[in-house]
Amino acid sequence: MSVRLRLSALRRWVLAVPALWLVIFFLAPFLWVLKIALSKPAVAQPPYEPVLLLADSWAVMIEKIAALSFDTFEIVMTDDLYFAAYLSSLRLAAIATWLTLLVAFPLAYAMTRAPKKWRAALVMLAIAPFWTSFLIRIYAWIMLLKDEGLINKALLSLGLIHAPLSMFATESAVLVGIVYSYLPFMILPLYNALERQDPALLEAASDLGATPFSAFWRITVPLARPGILAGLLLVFIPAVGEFVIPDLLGGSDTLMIGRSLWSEFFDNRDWPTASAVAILLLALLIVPLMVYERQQVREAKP
Amino acid sequence: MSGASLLRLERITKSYGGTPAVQDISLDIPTNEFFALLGPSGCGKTTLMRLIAGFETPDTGRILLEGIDITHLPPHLRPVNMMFQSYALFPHMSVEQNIAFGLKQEGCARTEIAARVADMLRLVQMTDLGKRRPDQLSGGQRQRVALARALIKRPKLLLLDEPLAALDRKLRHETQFELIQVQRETGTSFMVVTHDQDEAMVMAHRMAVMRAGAIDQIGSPREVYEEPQTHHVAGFVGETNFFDGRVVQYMPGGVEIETTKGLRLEALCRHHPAIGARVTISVRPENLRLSSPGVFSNNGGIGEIIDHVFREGLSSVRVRLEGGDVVHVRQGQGEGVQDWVRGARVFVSFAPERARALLV
Amino acid sequence: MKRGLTPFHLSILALGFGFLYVPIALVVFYSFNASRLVTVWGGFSTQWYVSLFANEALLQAASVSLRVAVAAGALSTVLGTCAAFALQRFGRFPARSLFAGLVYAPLVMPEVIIGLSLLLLFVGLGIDRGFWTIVAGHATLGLCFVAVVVQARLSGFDRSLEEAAQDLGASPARVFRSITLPLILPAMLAGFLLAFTLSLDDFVIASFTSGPGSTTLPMRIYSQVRLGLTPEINAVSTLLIGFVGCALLVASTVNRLKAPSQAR
Repeated sequence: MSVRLRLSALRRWVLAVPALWLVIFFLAPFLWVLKIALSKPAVAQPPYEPVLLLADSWAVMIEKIAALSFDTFEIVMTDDLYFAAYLSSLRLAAIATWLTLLVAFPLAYAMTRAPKKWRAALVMLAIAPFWTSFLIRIYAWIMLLKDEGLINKALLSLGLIHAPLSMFATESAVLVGIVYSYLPFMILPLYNALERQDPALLEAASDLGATPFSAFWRITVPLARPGILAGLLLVFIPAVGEFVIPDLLGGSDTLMIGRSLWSEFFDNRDWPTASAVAILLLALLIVPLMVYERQQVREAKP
Repeated sequence: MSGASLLRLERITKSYGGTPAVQDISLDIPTNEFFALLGPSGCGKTTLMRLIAGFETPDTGRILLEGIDITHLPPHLRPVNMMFQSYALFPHMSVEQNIAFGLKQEGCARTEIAARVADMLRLVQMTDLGKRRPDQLSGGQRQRVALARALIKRPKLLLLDEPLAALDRKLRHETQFELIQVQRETGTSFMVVTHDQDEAMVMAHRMAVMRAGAIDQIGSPREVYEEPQTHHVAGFVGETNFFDGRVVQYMPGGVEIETTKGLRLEALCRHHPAIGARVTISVRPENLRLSSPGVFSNNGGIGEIIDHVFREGLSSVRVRLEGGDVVHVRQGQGEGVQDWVRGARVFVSFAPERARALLV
Repeated sequence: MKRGLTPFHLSILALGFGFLYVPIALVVFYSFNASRLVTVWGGFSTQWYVSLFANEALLQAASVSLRVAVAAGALSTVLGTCAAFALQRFGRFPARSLFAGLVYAPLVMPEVIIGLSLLLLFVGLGIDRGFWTIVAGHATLGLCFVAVVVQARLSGFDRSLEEAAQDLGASPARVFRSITLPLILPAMLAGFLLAFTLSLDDFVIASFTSGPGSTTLPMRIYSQVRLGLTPEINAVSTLLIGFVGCALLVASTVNRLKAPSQAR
């Protein structure tokens, strides 16, 4: 009996330590953001008011809490610039996500067709870029896409073009950057979904008279659906909040919400607005997450 | 064959979230016995084994080993070892390290461990494979390693959870006899959990047939086969034919029943059903006799041969009785087997002393 | 209907992996360019590596990044393994779904939000930002990745191995040390490596949580990249790629040596 008791005390610690960590460094900061989003900007340090202090008396505290308001949210939501940034984030992330699927699906499919002994190495090869620095990969594309970059140089020297194409600092550059950076996230779930499929299914389909094309559309793709959905989500969600890619590859007119948040915070020092933007960004992402969750539950049922 | 009481279970009950898994089970196992717990999956036999090993604690009741209460002793302090169904060989250790594990926990001297591991490897005929890893072994070899690992601490009682389930048919057959031999050589009591009645019949000195968390019958394989005490035991151990009906009158040592299809049948009965009570008569296929209609006319019924196959030296005949029931008859060669043809009309009968009337 | 690689599949593989690797290869290639203009080939040279090692600020940043990554990796591994055990082994406990949500949420939370919220908290509590605040931010993210990796391993873990060890006389503590730990160690190592690389690579969270004197390598690289292409960045990138490549190679070799069981 004493063994059991000691164990359960140990268990309590094993649970409490990570839980406490997450509450302090994840949950509490998040609630703090919410609180600041309800404050007003001020020319002060920290640059918002009211500032809650632990030293405040209850009366002062209550007074300050009463001063919290949704004004900032209202400003953000009615501001055309933010609205445009939200829309443009969603649009770019959505296009980039589909493009990623378009690139990743044939690749993942071809990987499952490779001989068994190659496959582990191919998977490794597909994930490896994920381990190399994100910034370096973006830097590589700056090198390629700039007016004096390698693609333009190559095309010019081949005589295919006579003036450099302007690819850098465009939305297309941002799309390429997202596709390139998040490709491993799409390949992996797709590969897992496709690799699990029994080859006999396709043989059965062709035995029953399906052409390879219709077998692909009616067997392979539907069965890969969970993988496709996971991949879409894994790319879309981080892409919406992306800051580095639009900042380095996009032009000054490439609006994305992560970038707005960044400049609101670092350049304008408007903390309440940055916080409100963050909260609204999160609200935006909860919808696809819930769709995915429901899908998971539905797939798990039968 | 068996001596003083080794393990005693006293009124053990265990339930999970309100669902009883083991209900009021009492059991005595003497030293040097090969005991089998037989039952369909979900009957509670594995739970019972885990209670003895100490992975579960009973809700009520006591477990005594050599008279000492071990009910609340944690598994690592019990002088009982277990061979797992999956064998649970440690994948990161060699065969020798796996076998030595138990002795290492006791803090045995290196030289003693080496000597006893060598003994064990000899016992299970694995001497040359001590350096291998579990994943480099065949299924049969893994089973032997698991056996050696569980035996090295010289447990008072060895628990074996479906020890042969992971082996193919032929290997299973050979291994049964090896287990019997190892049990005899070591003198350890073995308790095997199995759902395969063949296994229990071949290996066990005594067996318990379980159903729904309770033991239906305990006895030697022969007793259980010849004197089943419940409908479930008769059906689960060996093959049998059932005739359902109601008691019409008492006979010396037995009853006469009228079946739902209108037959009058007589059989021995160890219970005391009331007149009119529902009972079923169990007759083993080898105890049914076929004859031409009209030669005999008691304790049986007329039917028609559906098919007749010859297998392993025995004739196996299926007969559809009037009324629709199908019975299975098995006859050895030279028992006056006629070449019963499909569609022939026959009289199926049995001697009352070869049949048992059981409560439903 | 033929299984296996057709020329069609082979060309897809070539194109796909070409797309993934050619840009990286070009970065490496042009790091050996003698010319100051990155995209104009001026002959082979290693001068940018030499100048790299004279760049105090960059070396300083690299040292900060490495130390942060080691600390954050180690913290993540301990915290994440605990979280994985709690989620996989403790059955139901109060607020389990809240706990699970906290463990998984940072995986899908945009980095800008994690960074922003941590910064606001640190400011609000009056904590000076620096080395340890970056470690805290990275460890929070790393915790989740480690938890996922270790939990996956635990869920495939045959519990009867632990029961067998206990049955053979091992106390719970010894069962953990001689059975559980060796078997989940590869997952913990993989988790550490993941957390380590994430930390080494992270720019966004570090930008929010760092203070004066604790500029990390990605922050330094970022500010130089914004100014334009410089061969020095190519050289740094090549070293980083080489570093990660070696680490991956070592990790996969160790994995193959330690777990031959995977082969069957």
